[in-house]
Amino acid sequence: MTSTTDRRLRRLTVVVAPLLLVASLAYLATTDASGLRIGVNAIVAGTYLATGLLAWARRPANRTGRIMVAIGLLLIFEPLQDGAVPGLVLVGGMAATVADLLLGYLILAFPWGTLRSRVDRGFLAVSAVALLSANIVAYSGYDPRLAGADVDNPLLVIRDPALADMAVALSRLTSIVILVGFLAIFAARWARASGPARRIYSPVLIPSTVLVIAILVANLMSAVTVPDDIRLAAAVTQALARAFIPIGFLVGLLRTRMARSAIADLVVELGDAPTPARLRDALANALGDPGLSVAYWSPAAAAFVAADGTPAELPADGSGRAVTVLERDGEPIAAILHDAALLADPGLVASVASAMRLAVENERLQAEVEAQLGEVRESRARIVAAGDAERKRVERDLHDGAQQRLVSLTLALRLARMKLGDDGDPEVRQTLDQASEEARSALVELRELARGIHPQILTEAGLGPAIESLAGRSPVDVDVDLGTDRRFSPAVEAAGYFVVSEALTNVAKYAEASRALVRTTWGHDELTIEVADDGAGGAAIAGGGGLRGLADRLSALEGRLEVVSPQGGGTRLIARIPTGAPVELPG
Amino acid sequence: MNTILIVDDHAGFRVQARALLEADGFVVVGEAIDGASGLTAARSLRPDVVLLDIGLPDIEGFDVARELAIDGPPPLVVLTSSRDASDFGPLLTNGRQLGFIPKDELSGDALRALLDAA
Repeated sequence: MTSTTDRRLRRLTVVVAPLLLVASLAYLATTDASGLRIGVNAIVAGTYLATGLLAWARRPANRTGRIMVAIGLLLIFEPLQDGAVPGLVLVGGMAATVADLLLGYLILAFPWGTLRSRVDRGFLAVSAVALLSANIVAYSGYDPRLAGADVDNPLLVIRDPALADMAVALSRLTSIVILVGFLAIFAARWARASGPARRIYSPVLIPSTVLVIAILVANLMSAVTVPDDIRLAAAVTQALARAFIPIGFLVGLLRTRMARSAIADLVVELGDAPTPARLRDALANALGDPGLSVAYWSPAAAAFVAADGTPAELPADGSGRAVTVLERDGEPIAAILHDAALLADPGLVASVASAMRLAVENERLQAEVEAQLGEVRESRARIVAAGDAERKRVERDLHDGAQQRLVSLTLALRLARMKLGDDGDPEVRQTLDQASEEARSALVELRELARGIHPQILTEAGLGPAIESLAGRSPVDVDVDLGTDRRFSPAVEAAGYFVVSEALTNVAKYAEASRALVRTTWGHDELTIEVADDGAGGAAIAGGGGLRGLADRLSALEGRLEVVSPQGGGTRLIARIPTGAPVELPG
Repeated sequence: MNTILIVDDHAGFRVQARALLEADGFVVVGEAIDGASGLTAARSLRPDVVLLDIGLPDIEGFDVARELAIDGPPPLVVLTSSRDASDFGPLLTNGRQLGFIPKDELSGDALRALLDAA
């Protein structure tokens, strides 16, 4: 039904219903039906009509509103069954029965607007058939002449009074059985319901139970003689209970609505990237369902699992619990297991699910970023380590190859010089001396080159001696203050060495400094190396410079480089490198 | 004070060292190619001086020097290497060796200078 059709129907009802009511009241005034009874009935019918129209307008998708309006309209005709016109009696009786069946449907369908279990559906279907047939059977034995009326029942089929009485008794028995069945269903539903479900059910279940018991009592009373006052009181109780049911519906629906305001708080809370435990608690609070639990989809297990990895059991149909699945791109990612009553407000669970999806998405993205960061860190460290290993290899090759040859050449030249002695050809002597000088220079240069590639002293004696060696070779005066003589992993020592090496190179090349200081300290599993000079300042970790390369090397070790270099104020380089447990190597 | 044992795994250096030192009046009583055989030779030959390469294949020269001191009066140990002193730093000032001569600076005079200073 489109919303325009709905609106038109509602307007039609608003116009037609009062007309019907007035007509019915007018007719009833001519009978000797109790004025109180007619008045109360009119009020009850009005309550159903008003509530029904409201519910229809607010929740057009939910059938409840329309059915309530139908009940209201039917109730207008209910008192007719106490009248004298057989046709109208039948109409009144059928209207009352159908109204009660519709009411029974509404109560069982509350709060979803549809019947959710096969038991409910079966029971109502059987009740409808049984009750309507019983009514027709009873009616076919109804002879108004026996009550002293002056009309005939055109549908009078059962003429034997005894049989007629049995038909009526059968009809009453059917009613009683059905009413007891309703009570059983109410009891079962209440027993299975959790706290929030009971809060939603109670405004409807309580008056419904009262009504069922009242009708039961009325049925039982009809078999015995009871004073009219009591009969009237019973009828009024019935009517009141009937009237309170639609009010109960409104209250129940209102209670599901109040949970929506909790959603705003929930979204804020979930934005904080909560742990699975906090997430569950936040959802349980927002929905008012302490028994709520959250399951996550495990692609490996192709099933939902709890936060601790154990398989999650999905609730069975009719168990009072339901599952709302969160999906992303058509694939399940998580599920909320909650009280089935919460599904009465479909938007509620959907909003909660959206809020949760944000949190789950957040967590997933965070986990992905962490994993990627981890990979990046590892690969960076590997690259640096590979570079260092390669340098060591090249240095080794230089040492084993060219250096050995130059050493051998030097010794051979020395031998030749010795053999020649001081008496040999002076030209030959001079040539040999020059050759020796060349060889010596070559060896010195080669050794310098090798040291630049990989300082063997770092491997042999550690960071401290390597720094002292650097300081000694610097053209600037360098004071060395070694706060620790511990040894660290090769990667850490290499990083420390290159910090000092690069820093002292810069001091010599650019700083125009007269003095420099190198200080090392170790504490709280962190090695700190400081190189300070009194030169011109103005250094920075610009892209591509040596300091950038240093900073990168330090980052690969989770360390950092700080440069304090105001113009004209000297330069201070501070490197901090986490070391983990230091390595004690035999000295 | 002139008998020498040369311990070095490089054959070419052993030949050149022997030639240089013998030309300067020293007597080379033996050669060894690694730390273990060097220790054995030192114990049996009892040289005055051991010319010991730091970079031996089995044990570091520093450790061999330490071992030599264990039984009886040790010979004087002179460490050598294709590398120069700055590659070893303080390791050369601690330890049981008399001194260090880089291979390219080896000569009878250099050795004698060290021995005279002992």
